[in-house]
Amino acid sequence: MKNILVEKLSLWQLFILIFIFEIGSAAVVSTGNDAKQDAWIALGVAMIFGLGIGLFFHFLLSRAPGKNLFEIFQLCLGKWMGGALIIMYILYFIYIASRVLRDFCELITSFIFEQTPVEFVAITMVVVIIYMLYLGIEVMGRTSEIFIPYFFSFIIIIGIAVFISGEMEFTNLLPILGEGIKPVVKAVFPQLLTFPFGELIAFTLIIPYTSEFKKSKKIILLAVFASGLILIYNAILQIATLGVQMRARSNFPLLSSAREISLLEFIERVDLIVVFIVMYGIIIKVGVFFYGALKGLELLSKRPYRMHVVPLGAIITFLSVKISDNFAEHIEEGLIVVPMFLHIPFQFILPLLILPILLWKTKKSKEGRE
Amino acid sequence: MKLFGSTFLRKKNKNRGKSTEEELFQQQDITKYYSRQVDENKKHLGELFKGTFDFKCESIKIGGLKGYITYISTMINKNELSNRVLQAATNRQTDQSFRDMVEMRELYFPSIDYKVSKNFHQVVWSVLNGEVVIMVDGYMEALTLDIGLPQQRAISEPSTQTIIRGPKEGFVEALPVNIQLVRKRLKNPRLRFEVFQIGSDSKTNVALGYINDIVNEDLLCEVRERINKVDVGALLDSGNVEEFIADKSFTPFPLVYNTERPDSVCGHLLEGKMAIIVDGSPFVLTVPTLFVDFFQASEDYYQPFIMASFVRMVRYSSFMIALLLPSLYVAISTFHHELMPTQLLISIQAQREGVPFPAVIEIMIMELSFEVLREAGVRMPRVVGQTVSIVGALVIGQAAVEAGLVSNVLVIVVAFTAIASFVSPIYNFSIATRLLRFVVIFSASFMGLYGVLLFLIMMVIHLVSLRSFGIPYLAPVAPFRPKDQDDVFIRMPIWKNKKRPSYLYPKTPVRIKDQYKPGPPKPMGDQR
Amino acid sequence: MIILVTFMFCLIFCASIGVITVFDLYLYNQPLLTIVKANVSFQRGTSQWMIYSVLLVGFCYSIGVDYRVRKNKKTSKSS
Repeated sequence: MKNILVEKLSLWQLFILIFIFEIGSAAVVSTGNDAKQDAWIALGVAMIFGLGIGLFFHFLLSRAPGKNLFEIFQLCLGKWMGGALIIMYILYFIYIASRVLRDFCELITSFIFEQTPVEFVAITMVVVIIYMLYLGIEVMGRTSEIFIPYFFSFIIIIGIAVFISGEMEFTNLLPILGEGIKPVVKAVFPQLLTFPFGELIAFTLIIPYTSEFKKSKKIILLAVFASGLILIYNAILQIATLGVQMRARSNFPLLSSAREISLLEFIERVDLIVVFIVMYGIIIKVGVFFYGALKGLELLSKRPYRMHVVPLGAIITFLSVKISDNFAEHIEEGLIVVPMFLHIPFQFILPLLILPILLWKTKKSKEGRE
Repeated sequence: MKLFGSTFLRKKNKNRGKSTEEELFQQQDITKYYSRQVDENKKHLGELFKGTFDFKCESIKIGGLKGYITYISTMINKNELSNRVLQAATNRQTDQSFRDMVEMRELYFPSIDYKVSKNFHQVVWSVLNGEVVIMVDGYMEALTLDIGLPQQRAISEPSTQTIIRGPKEGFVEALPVNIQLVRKRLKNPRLRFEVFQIGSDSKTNVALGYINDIVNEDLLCEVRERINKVDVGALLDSGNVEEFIADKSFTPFPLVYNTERPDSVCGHLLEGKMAIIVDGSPFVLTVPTLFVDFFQASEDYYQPFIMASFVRMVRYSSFMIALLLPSLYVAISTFHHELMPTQLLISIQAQREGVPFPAVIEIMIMELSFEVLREAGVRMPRVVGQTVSIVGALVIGQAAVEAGLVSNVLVIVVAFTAIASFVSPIYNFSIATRLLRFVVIFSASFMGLYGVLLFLIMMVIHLVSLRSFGIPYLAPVAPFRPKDQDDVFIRMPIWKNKKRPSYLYPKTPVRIKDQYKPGPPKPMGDQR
Repeated sequence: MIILVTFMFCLIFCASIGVITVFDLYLYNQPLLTIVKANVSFQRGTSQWMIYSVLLVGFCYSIGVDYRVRKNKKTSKSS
């Protein structure tokens, strides 16, 4: 019975999780505005870098098989130094989870329920996420397997429906690279590199627990590639529908463009579909970051992570409301502070610093074995 | 039960039958052993069954020796007793002597099923089981004759799972008959039935059936273990077993499949599942159970596959309708007017004009009164049932609308929901829909469509976390197995369905090896 | 440590309040105290009571978990 009951995340589930995770909030919040009409090119460039990022994280994990990022920290830096680093990462994950959650709450309260307080939306969402994580990461994978057909087809359908409604102006995309390559570079670095793709760092805590680690490399690359394609599709859809100016001004361009749909004089407001996409994407995204933080707590406290789910969920709810007083502040923090002070150090600098120590350690242990 | 419960659980299933008899033996203080003196035995039996009118212990002469014939008169077939046992014992011209009970049976009752009991508690057990015990003076053993039970309900059409095309036999209350119904469809020497005695008071026979070269060994052990753990006073229906062996009780979804149809049990056995037949219940359980099982009627396999696939799609969508339609009505009419086309919105709002309640209250009134009607319709004596349905239809349908309590659209919504909830081939499953519907209505009433989405995601998380005997409940879909998709949302043609579902880990994964595809005969020219 | 879950809860909570305070300090040139006060204090008239009650639930839950762990340890030691 044992071999049937113990079930790990399958590769297909990993693919789906990365796919939804990448698209999750990036599809809804406007990304790559610096590149203007070339935002989709910027996304493509960022995707190529994203493949590299995925490879880098996988390489890091493959040096110490079966260990997740936090265990690698403890291996390299010892118990106390590693512990301090883990706490920093936990804070980072919690902070990002709260940010992402706040994005969604703002979307709901500004577009669907104007009367509902942000707190209420945050609490209900966190309850769902807590329930999911309490049941385990495989449950998250399997739930995504159920929803992926809808998630995927809704994104595609929105584009097609907008196109049929005749709202698309492909001239909005012109001129391609009109101002040279500079705006694209500006959009890619640091914003696009860190926002959908660099956040893969959270998966370094999930990938070691998949059924076949060796094959996961291909899956990561495929998932990043597929999600990059969908993001490019989305960017083109938004720019063509709304135009550069409108897209930059709109907080949730996908929702704004979906509102242009008008088919058969019957299908008019498909907000719900967009809300579903965002909602599920956010649940997965918050869930993955949440899970990362939980894994860190599990390692530090040597208690099963299920014990920490509810308390940590309460903190995330609290933070998501307190993170900023209003949406303007939220966006400003997200554009100025978060990439420079959180994303870049935690996604790139710290792992890069760890890498030589890890290589040295694993080399030594290999030699010792021989 | 409590006295012996703990020692009882630790025992492995091999000694199961024995241990229950021993337990009975100790429990009822039958400290005596079977004695060579039959009079002594008769006395003990008489004490044990004192005050029971139907306990009979009559003296007979057999082979010139003194003997007693013991039985419970209500548990046996009287004709059989007098024709085959009593006549054979007394009409014998020459009194032949015999060495032991086996020889005696060869001489006197060669045509009757028998057993030799060496212990006193075995005798008691046999008497209780409706067998006839013959005790003869001077022998250390008693002869137990099984002459069959009195008349049972005849095999009839199943009342809960009716079909248009397909076998019309249904299970009955008697265990042997039910096993026979399965066996005659699957003539396979590897089809096995293990018997367990469950219930400290009822001692009900429970048969676990499986096909040995298909079923997964680990699963089988798990099921056996769970059946052994069933610890109940009296087992009156398979529903009692169901609650004990399910993986989780706190869920509205049934984790064990039950059916009245032998053909559907056979289909499940052939997939690598196991059947649990409880004596006294016409509902046979099959485990492990998956979510998709509740959308597959056995008729799907008897109708053309295109039609069957279509009907299956209808079932899935009607499940969603039964679950979500009322809540969508509440959400849209309360919060999201803009989602409706203007014309429709106007007509709905115009109808709701005179209604004094908000949409939630309106729909709750109707749903609850419908539930009341449904329950009354089931429990009512058949004779008055008709009245209820007529009054109910009138009250719900017309009077409520005319009195201005509810709007017309709402009646359509509720009626359609109710009909959609009956589509599931298994009644158990529609209970889940009924319960959850109220939860969604509630959540939609104060969170609108966001609440409905929230509920849906919660429900899927819950469904996905469920397991039936370790097999994920949503198995071929999540975790996704591309090879098992041929019998989930659509039914592929039978000749294409060559593999058993792999999520059950069957021993022989392939049903039929040869690649046959129906088609017209080859033209004569090709043969040349 | 016996009260590990509660300890972790408090540690993470204080540290995360610290993080958002630092960011606010960077963005607005306000004295430290006002920012901390704004981040921790309860604003009347809004529906912020919800998140405070959630926080309370989380705190109580963590105490409950610790209590249960402790009880289990005791019983397993005695047996």
